[in-house]
Amino acid sequence: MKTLIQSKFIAALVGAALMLYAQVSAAPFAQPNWAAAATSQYVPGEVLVKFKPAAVALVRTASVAALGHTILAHLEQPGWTHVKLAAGQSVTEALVAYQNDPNVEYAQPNYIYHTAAVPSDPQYAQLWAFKNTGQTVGTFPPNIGTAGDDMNIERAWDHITDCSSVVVAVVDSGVNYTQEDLAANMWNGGSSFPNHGKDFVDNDLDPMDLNGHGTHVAGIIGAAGNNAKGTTGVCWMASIMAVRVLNAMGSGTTANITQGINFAVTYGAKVINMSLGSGGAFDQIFSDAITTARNSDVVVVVSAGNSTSDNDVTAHYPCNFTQLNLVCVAALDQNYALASFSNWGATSVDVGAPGTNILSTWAGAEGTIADNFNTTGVLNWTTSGGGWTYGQRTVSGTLFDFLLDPGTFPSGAYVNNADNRVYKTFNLSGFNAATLNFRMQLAIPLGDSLNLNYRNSGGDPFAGGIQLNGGSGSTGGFIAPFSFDLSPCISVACSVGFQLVSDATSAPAGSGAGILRFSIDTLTINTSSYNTISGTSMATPEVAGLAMMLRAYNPQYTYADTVGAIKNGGRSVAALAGKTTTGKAVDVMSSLAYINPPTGLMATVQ
Amino acid sequence: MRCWRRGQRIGLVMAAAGLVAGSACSQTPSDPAPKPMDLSSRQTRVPGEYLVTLVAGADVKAIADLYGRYGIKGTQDLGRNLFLVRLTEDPGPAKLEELRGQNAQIKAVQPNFVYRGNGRGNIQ
Repeated sequence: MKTLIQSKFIAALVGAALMLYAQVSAAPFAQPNWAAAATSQYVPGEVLVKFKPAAVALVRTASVAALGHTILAHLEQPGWTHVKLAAGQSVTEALVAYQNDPNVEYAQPNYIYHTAAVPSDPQYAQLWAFKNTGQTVGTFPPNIGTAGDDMNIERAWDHITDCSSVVVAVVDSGVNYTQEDLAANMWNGGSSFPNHGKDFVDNDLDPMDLNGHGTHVAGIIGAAGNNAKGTTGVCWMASIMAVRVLNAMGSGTTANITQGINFAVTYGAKVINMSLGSGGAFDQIFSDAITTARNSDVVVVVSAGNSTSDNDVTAHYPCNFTQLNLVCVAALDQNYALASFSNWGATSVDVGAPGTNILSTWAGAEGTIADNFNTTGVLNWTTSGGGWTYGQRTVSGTLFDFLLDPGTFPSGAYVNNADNRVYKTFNLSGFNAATLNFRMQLAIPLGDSLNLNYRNSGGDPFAGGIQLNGGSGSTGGFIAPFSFDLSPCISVACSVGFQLVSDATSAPAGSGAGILRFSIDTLTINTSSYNTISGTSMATPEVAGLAMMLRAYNPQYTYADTVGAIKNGGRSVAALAGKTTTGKAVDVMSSLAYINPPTGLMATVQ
Repeated sequence: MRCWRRGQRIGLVMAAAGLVAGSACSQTPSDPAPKPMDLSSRQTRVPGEYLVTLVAGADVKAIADLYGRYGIKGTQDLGRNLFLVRLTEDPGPAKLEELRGQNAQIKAVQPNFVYRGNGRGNIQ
């Protein structure tokens, strides 16, 4: 109770002074004063004294004067006096003196209170990465956190929330630049880039996100804060450049990505976020693009990967590139354990950041058109040439609906000289993106082929349609997932079909195809969608946002200063020891307070 | 006996799923041994697509001179002497690298690798 009363009391008494001090305290954040400003708990040279009720004004004045102090104010709370100490006298000395004064009931320092920079965004309480209260968020386990396991960002917001002076490029699946929490924080590309970036997938000037991934990343970095909408990013105000290098299915190539990096560097980005990767071979051209970025003083933040593997053993690029402007990020869960999917690497992964159940902006509304090929057990797709039938098979103990040719597959074989077609028409009007997904077991020998076509006017897709894929091959007796971008087929009548073509040579037993779990996933762009997802992709923009904040707060910072502050300012986390180069999770306030050692100084010793 | 083989285009999606064609036939360099499905290893390059770096001042015609034997479907100038080349036939990265030494105007050739976003909605 005493503490509560005291807090309210102090707030009432010295509120104006504290607000003033809060303002003033931001100014000393010029680096030389950082340490003192960050640790000071009360105003030097001042105390607050409560005299006993019997101590009349004359007695109070005498007591203060006897110590060489002066009265700054008689506060409105009865008995309390705001006192300025004599030059050179410490607060501790003054408190001892007043405690020994029989007229004094109580004395205390004039404590410093900082404004609690908590944004007004209605879903802020879900952002455990910024403020972990042990809240329950999302569904990825464990989805209940440990209070305090967060990025320590709120204190940093007392000093900087506007990072719009630093351009950050989201090199990803694009960004929904109309999203309500992003529109105000997009990069101004002028008349040359009216949609805030560029698309290197379709090679045009519209980097609209047809996947969602890039919009999510952008929101983590810089969703508009304190705007009473949705969420907030690491910075409340930002300048986000949208660079589309991943297609609607979330994949892109060396050619896409390196063009995107070079664009970002050319047009002034100082931080690049790349929440992408591959477990493939060393990619020289990609590496060269990172080097180009380094030579232009650009920080590049990348993800460690989601394979639960050691990147030191199995390289994951770009994480494993070694340029000094590169920061590779692992994902932490809500209890600051390494996320169950996250890659790590004692020499290749640098830091950890929150990466599970991360709520952020999304490109639009998602839907699924699922099809199980049948109506009451009868194939409900159109066929020609025979062959295709509906059937059920048990896979790993679960019964699934299958589209089969031959109907006995995986036993038997289809007939010679076949042209077996099966297709169905779907209404995809109104959608902005569509992805075709299914699983398939396949065994088509050389000379025969299985073709997958679509036609955006309906009807037989093998008569004037477009081929998505085709040829012979085998899944080796396994069922494998397949995905295709069906966006070009968006129309009121999009037909999709499979065609099995055979020659005059008999196929061996076991030849054919079995298709299951057929669906079309759709995306309708809007301005108000959000999503909670997990991945090292989500941890990465937490760090890119920090890099942006550091460079905005310290405009003179080089890439080396920025990377140094991120790594050295982190908080040691047991789960990252031996798993990353630093053993640390990012800590925004500590990185902001971190003072890079001066370099290039010369001294003459006499 | 007829062999299973990766089809020219269906092979792309087989690789995307981390699959290699199973076969009872003898193994050849272009027909690797069957492997069980491994969804963690996915397609790492675009079949038939290569990134060719020319030496400064070289004529882009050098690309067709060297790799035209595989049929060039298209060439895209990516800047900085870098070109994306789409071939009709795909002899594989090793063969293209081997040929590179025959033309001093070609500085480097490599696959057009595939990368994916590292965010997932429902990691299991």
